[in-house]
Amino acid sequence: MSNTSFDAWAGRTLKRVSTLALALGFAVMAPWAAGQASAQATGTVTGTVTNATTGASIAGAQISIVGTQLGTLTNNVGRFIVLNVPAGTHTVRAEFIGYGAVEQEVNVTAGGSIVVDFGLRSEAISLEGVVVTGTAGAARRREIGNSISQVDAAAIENQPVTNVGDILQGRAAGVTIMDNGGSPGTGRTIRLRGNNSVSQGNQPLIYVDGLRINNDAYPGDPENNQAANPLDDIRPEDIERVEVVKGAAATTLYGTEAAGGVIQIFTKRGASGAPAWNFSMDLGMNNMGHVGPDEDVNPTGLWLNDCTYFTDPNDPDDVQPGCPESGSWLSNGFIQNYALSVRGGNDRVNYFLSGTWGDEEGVLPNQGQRQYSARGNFGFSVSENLNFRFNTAYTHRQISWVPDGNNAEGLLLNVMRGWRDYTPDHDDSFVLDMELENIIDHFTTGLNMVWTTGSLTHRVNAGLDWSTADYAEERPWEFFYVPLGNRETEQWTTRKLTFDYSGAWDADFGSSFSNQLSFGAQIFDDFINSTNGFGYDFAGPGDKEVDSGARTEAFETRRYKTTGGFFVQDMFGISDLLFITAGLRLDGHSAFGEDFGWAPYPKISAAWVISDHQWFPESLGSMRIRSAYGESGKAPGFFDSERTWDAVSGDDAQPAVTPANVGNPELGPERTAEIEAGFEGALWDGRFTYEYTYYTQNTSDALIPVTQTPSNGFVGTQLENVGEINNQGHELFLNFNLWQSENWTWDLGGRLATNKSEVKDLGGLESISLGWRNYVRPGEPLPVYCHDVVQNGDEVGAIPEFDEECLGSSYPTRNFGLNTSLTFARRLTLDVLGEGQSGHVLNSGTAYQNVRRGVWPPCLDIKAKIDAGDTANLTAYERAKCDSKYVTYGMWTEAADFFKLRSVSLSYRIPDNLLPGSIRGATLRLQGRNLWVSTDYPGLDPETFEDGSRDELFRQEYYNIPPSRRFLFSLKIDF
Amino acid sequence: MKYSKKLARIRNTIVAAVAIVTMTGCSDFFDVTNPGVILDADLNSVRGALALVTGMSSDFSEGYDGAAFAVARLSDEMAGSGSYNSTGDFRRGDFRSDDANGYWNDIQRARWVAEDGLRRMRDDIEGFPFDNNELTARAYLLAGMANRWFGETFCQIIYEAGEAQPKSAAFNRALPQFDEAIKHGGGAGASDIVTAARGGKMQAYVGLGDWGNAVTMAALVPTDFVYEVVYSDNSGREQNEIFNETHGRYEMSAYDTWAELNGSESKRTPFTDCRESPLCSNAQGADGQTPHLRQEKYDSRGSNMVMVSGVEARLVEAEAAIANNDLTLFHSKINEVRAHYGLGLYPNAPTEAGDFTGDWEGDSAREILDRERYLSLWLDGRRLWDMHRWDHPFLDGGSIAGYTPRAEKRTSCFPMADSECQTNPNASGLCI
Repeated sequence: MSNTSFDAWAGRTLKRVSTLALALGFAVMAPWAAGQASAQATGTVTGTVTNATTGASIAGAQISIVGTQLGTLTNNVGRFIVLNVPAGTHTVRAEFIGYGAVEQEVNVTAGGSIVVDFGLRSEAISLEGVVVTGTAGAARRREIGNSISQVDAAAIENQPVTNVGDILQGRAAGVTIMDNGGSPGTGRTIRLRGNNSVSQGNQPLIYVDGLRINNDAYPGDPENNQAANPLDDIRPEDIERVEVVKGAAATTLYGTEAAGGVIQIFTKRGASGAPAWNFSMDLGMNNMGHVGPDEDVNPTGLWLNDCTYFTDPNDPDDVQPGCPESGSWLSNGFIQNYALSVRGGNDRVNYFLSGTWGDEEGVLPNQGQRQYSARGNFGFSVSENLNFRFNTAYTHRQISWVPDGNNAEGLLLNVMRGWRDYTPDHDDSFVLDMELENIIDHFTTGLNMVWTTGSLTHRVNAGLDWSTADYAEERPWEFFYVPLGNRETEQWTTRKLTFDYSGAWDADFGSSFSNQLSFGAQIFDDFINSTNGFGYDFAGPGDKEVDSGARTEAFETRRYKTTGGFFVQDMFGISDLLFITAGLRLDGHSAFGEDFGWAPYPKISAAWVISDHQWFPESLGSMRIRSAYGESGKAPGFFDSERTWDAVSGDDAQPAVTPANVGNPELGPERTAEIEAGFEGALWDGRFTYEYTYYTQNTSDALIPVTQTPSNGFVGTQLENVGEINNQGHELFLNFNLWQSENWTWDLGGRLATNKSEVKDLGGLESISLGWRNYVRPGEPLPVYCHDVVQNGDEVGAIPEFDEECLGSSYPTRNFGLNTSLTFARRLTLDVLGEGQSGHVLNSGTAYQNVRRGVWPPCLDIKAKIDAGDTANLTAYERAKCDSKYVTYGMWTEAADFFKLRSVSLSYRIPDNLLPGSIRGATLRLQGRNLWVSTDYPGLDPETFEDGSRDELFRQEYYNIPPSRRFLFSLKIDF
Repeated sequence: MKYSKKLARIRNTIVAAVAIVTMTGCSDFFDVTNPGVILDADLNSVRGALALVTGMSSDFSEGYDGAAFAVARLSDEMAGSGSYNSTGDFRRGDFRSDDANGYWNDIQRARWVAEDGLRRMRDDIEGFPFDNNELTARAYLLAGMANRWFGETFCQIIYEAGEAQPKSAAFNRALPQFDEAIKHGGGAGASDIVTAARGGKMQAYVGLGDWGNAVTMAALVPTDFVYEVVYSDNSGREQNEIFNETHGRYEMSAYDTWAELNGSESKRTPFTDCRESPLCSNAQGADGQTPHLRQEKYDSRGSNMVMVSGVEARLVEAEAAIANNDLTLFHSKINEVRAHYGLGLYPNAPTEAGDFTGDWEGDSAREILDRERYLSLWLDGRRLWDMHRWDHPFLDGGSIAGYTPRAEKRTSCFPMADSECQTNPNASGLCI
């Protein structure tokens, strides 16, 4: 590679800006090249591109004859042919996103055809890889100044992945994904570099193929205390790769609402060739292990695993009333998933079509999820410079929940409280009479256009993301808690429209300097509509509708807002070594105050490919140093800036008003400014890759719900731009190919990320309660858990004395992942992934409430002494912990550090000679998920969170079903 | 070349159009709509005044039952038999500033919407007939009642982010508001509002210890008069919280209280013993152990509560008689109350004024008064105020259903709320 030739650099840049544009360019040039070549002696280069580790074919890989304009893309089964290659010695290069590029030298003879096959090895970090997220259009990784995490289809090919969260969990540094519960359909909590907003949510923005999709949890399920997440509507079988930019330094171009980071999902594209089919099938089960404290003190798993010894610890025949005949509330939940896809096309038109169907049962009665989906991705090449992609997807999910969590009608709450429960005669099966169902439909369609005119490239993404949730909750006639029964339904619809234009103008200034000026504008239009109906008091049994109730209520929400902005960015390159980028985005937003105006977000970054210097030791491989500064924001909510009143009723159904919001005409977005710096590179021919990033971000003008002085009349809170929050941390990513031979491949990888958050200022407020004893307090992490803990714990025979203490962050401050993959003979692969989260505390409301009721197994010995009046030898700590008279939530708030064996899979690619001729390949796989956990947390599970899937800031475990284990047998066939 | 120029023109047009649309079309483009919200200026209409006053009533109702629910658990009215964190604290007589936020806010809102609504009706709503209007009278009544409620409930009073004042500040603020209610209600012919305002003045004078004026006002309130805080099954906001917390959820119980001793059939303190009734879903409270004796005074989601009544007026007269050592008059007034309920009368006047002892069978005047006020005003949200002004012995370590207090002295009035301490420099340091 030349360090100084701008022409060469410009050629490469243009070539790599868009893989599709390049491919089509080659396709159009082929006849021209053929005409030129007719005057000289030429030959043909053909071959296949496969995954070097697994042998799977790679469609869409880029093949180029180095030093010429010749090249092509592999077709849908990984084959390629390059015609009219001048006779002579050439270097053929094969590359594909997520894999390291491979070059081979060939000798082409006049009229001859030479076969060259490539085996590409997955490479986590490649400086030449093209990324899209956070850039204006597309850029090579070497050109951008911020870190970007990328997980490709290649990396998850042998993973037990059943949803998007599985793809990212433990595999991307700085991405924290928390399972919240074990009910099928439960969404996960995703945090990129921690929390930086008190009031506006901390979920990252989600893009799919350039379109912004809904990232809020679906409504409903208040009796289950969990919610479904739209991210899980995207089927992993359709995903080509995922890019993650984690902080404001990288998300500036996304402007307002992007301070929580951006996750962009790219779905699979078509490729030229005859139809290539893929069928996959998963069969297996969900399984729950022992629940709660260790078996030696809790043999029945809080009566969830085993219904015996209900009131008498010595009587195995004393069975909890209503318990299933199996003797346990838990059972294995059957799982079946099927997916079928096809891709093909020609030089002008290509397609990728897929469909999935799945059915999953939970570990508790009545739990389950059924889903089906369809996708059609089409590519059209109108001319060599004008290309379109049209992607459409639809997903349907039907989720059945069980009443759970902080709910007097919840199953776990009643079962785990034993004889201190709410159900008549302690028969907790009555709880299961309640029906909870969520039906979700999610439709996304979008058009992508790339138009190149000389040195100008225009890109347009436009489309619609539309989703609905139909929630129904019914307590039947003669339900134990509501004898006359009731029914609630909610029809919720959200529509997001995206229009995104970006242009890029490439220019050169001499042989060593390059410049790319980018500009663009985006408009996002959001509409939310929700209608709730309540029907109370039925006249008799049977299936109901809302109006079956003697009394009905209805509520409607209808909101519409628009975000828009434009940006300009310039990237200046020197000798393809040093890249400096500066940009500015200006945003307007419906929710900004009347006097606020526009929000500007600047950015500047630098990337230096130090390893391309002559003086850089070749033994140190490739290396890039980078640093970036950028700002992003989050907008206030609907009408937060206005003084408003709510319409209510009073005096028995007469119209009335009550004060709602004080109003603040100067209200603007909160602004997160971030500096990040780091380096990345590869050693030993790409066998060892590494990436390190340090970041510090400061959120100023943070939107704080400031309590109004109640004695002034408006008693609620008003958002004000008065807060300041700091986050900083380190992110380290390592991947090591320990062994590579013809028969053996052994990879080992690790990720570590830290996040230290601190609330700097709350505009004079000392504390904001988030509920469940989680607080926002200056000088403490966001959020912090504070409650009463014993102060004289060592005193024997003393009454416990309490004082409030802040016990630590409610969110993990450290996250680490370890994975290894061992492949034998390109057929048999063992893949293991472990993940740990630590540095935080979690309150076990389950333990606290059971202690209060005298039914917490680890405390039974102490309780017996207390009941006998034998307290003289008990310490104050023991009484504070186990005496129902003194116990506090704070005493059951402890470190929630854990390490989980997230996944283990064993894959076997069946030899081709054992397959029928029409089958191109087949793989069998055994896989398990969440197989083992190591933790000292005393409650149900360190990942179990009440309402965690709703983007709540507080964390609390309160009789929630923990994440379950999952075992799957899979078959994947290419034909 | 010609083609390139055309392309360039198209390109430039697109770029310019995008920029223009984005930059110049924004004043309307970024409009946000949310139809359910009412903007402040929209309230300034004559027709809107009715919704404004109904809102005052709604906000009063919204807070009043919640405070009464807290009072019942903090005092000796009910056993806190549930699992709310607040119940765990309240039944042990423990009430802190962070517990007070909701109640402080509710009272301040009820007061402010009435007082500011009156200002709006008088100054901002063009054409509104302010004088001698029943709406005006009701708004003044609700303002006065909110201040009476404020004074009885909280240990200290603050208005408009000012300095803390004693309880008397609230009662003094209420008196002229009741006078205005009487004036405008009289002009409008709203006799119920006039009588309720007189009862409100009676309550305020009791708060000030001015028994002479209290008795004067009490005399103007007939025994069978009741003015109610309105609840309804129409919407969740309008529902009676005490009903929901005892019938829907078993959070407090009449177990081990004077109400239990009084018997389940009492007209004043009716309850259902869920240990024996098939109508209950469970026999014990939400704590899993306390027998659930379900109150039936509020037997539906729409059961109204009493704001002021003639029964209370007679009890005020009886209490004033004790202060005047006129035990014959006391005897007469107490029997008026019992006769009103159709109960047997005390045959003889007590022989001594006595003290408040908490003895269910005590026969001194104060013991009888204690018992009769307890039973007559049961679950009206007034018991803690009585205990406070009497320094009732239950406050000194009293317990129900085995829930012993955390401190020697139980809470008898709500402390300053954290929400005020954090936002009002004058209140800094007043929270506990």
